[in-house]
Amino acid sequence: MNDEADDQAWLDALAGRDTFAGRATVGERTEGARTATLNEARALRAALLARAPIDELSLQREIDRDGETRAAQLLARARRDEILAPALARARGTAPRQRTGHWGALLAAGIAGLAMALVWTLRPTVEAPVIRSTPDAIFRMVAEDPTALRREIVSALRAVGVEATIYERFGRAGLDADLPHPLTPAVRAILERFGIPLPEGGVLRIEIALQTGS
Amino acid sequence: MLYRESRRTVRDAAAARDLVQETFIKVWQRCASFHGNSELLPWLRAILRHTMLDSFRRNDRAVSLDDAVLTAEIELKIVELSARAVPTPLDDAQARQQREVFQRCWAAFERECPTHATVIAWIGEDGLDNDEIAQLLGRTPGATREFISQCRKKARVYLAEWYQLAFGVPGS
Repeated sequence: MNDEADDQAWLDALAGRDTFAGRATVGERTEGARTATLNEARALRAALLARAPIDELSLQREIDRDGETRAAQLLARARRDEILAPALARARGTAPRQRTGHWGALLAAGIAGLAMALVWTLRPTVEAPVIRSTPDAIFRMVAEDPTALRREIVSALRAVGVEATIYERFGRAGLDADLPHPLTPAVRAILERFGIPLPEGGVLRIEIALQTGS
Repeated sequence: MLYRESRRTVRDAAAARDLVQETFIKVWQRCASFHGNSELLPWLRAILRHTMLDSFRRNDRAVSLDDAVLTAEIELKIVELSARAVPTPLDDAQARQQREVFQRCWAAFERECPTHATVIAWIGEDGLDNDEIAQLLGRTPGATREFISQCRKKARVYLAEWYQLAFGVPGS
């Protein structure tokens, strides 16, 4: 194998196109590749995919914190430029409105407490196992090896020309993919194979959680 | 979405924010050229990736692999190691050690050759092919093949320590 073919085999293996559904299309190219090339690429791919994903929770906190900081800066600037001054002065001069505010807060707290008590009392004693559901247009699945299942779905989609973006969230393996419109029979067949319902809006969003003991 | 993608690549919050901001400026400037022939999300993502590559090019330290003897030695060693590699089950400690060494080597690779490291990550994590990378880099497919070959060579140098561990030669 010449250097160019060797590099191509390395690229294909690094992209995961040598082991899954893409085998039929690139098989000839990779078949003659040296074992060393494939081992090198596969090891690198595995290490890249196993890299610590960004902690989604702390990332969300960071985004929230940024938003709060920005809001505080805007408020401070508005006060400095006396944009808020008339409103503040009006609030200071209206003691009865403040008292109403206190009662309102107490009432809101009471209702919130009652709602929490009701939820606690009425909660089911045994949580029914949910295998699949579709809240927020995210199709949720469970698997013994979520990463492997995701890899399989991503590879199957890629083989029919659909690129998926993978991510991790709260320990779940997620993927997003923009499906072709209209949906091709090949994509439809893949969705059916994995038991995934047709997504609305042409965007496929899946999150796979680890299957815990039954 | 763009911020997450940006953080995934640059791993630094401030730099990621700057990249997203720069991306939105470009989106604003180029929105007239978006005719809806393609999906919006991939279009935005492509602009972000172009922005990342531009930023890397501005900051790229001209690290050369002129030390041909050293590079050849490392390449030879890795070819030799990977050819005889037999996948062996790892215990937790070994796996952790491998991950740590990889993170350390990869961080150095990203720091010194951000464009090369990012291209490899896009291939490995998102499965980009030669043509897609050529489009992002603004190069011909032939020049891109050459660039990817360079990426591979540089990765071998920066990840040499990890390759040795991964192929079962700890501490050698």
